[in-house]
Amino acid sequence: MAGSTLEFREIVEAHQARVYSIAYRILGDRGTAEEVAQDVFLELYRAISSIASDEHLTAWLRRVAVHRATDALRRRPRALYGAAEFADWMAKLSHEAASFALASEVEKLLLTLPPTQRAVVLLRYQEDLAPPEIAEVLAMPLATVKSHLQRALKSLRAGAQDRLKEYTRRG
Amino acid sequence: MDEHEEFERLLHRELQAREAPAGFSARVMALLPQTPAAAIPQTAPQRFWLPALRWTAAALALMGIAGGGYWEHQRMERIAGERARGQVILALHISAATLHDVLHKVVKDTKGDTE
Amino acid sequence: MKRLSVLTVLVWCMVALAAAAQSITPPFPVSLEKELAARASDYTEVSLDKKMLAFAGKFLSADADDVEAKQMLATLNGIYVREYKFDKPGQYTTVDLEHIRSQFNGSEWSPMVRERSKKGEGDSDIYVRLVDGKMQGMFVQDAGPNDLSFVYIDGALNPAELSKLDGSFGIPKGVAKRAAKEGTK
Repeated sequence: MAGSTLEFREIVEAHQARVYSIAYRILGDRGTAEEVAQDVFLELYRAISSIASDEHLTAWLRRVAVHRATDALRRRPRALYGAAEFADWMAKLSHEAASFALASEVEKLLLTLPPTQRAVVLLRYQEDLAPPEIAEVLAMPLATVKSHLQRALKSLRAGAQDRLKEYTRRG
Repeated sequence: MDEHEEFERLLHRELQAREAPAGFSARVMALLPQTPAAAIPQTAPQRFWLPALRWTAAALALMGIAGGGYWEHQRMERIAGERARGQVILALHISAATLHDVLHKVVKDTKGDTE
Repeated sequence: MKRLSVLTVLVWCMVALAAAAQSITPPFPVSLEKELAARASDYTEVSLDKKMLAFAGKFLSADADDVEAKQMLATLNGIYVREYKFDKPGQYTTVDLEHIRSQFNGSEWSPMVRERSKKGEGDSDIYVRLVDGKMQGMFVQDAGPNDLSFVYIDGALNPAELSKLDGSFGIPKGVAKRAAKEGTK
């Protein structure tokens, strides 16, 4: 039993950065991101006997982390979805009113994207997955993944032009 | 290197996985149920093909028994259905994204007008 | 016998007319679609009438995204989207856009958004079709220097459903409230 627990802890430590980063960058909120990341590992603990390989484990974690984070986003207070609250969301869009503790300009820009586009960008640039692999993780048609990626890059570049002059010069 | 490639490099660099908060793994372990989990399986790549082999054998037997025509029709309908589903998801996605883009422009221009 | 034949013909005509009334012809001028596609470096065209939506609906799963999609499809008669990407600006004209927009100048259509960029970043329009105060259609046109997107959704739309179409939206108070109000009058 001790061996199993130790091995599981090693798995957590090996993958916590990946899982937490996905959750944080989709949610933009450290507290909720940590809760979601914990839930992912608890679910892994229950499902561990069905994991067949290291590759399977990584793919499983990516898929579950993305789904739990986007679910958590949907379950947020309906403030973002009522007609009267759109103006509040508009204020948040201005970044100056953002209530999240953000580490980088790129992460701020990421939060201006719809959740699914955020997930696709993270799987592409944080996890280095090719579009067909992203389609598999998200159970989404490849054409839709490519469309999401194209739109996301367009939005990010437009935002980056204003905000990232220093970053792009560093190259 | 063109601008697009430079931008992708920037994204790769800026989106490297960030560290989890200090003590994260300890907090996860503290939340685990008291009863032990099933033993962590060893990496066993050879297990991959066993279920696939079982399913393939079952599928072949079924096709042989049931006859080709009916199943072929079902298969074609399923393929057509999955393609249609993909089209619907794509159409809804493009609709939502286009609407989002337009409204985003409205918000941006409204802010510009009031600044 | 002759009377029966005439009756049969009449019945078939009525059936044909009913079928034609149900099938929705997307409002894009066909010649323009072909021209845009010919000039585009990449394009996507999806046309889904009611029959196709019903067929696809049978293959949507129990996942949250698919369940939301299925709920939307239940009241729609058609979804038509066109996306064009061009290698360089100038592949369409304002006359082209106006020609398409003119199809939504009828009394049933209300313009909800009309954005004309001063920086040359493109124009955007949203029209909704109101029948007895209920939204029965939406047309979105988003034009940028190097891309063009059209969305035409025919069918009963709940204003709240707009926000469920993937991600969050920013709508100035007036537009959002007007959309919600118009839909519930």
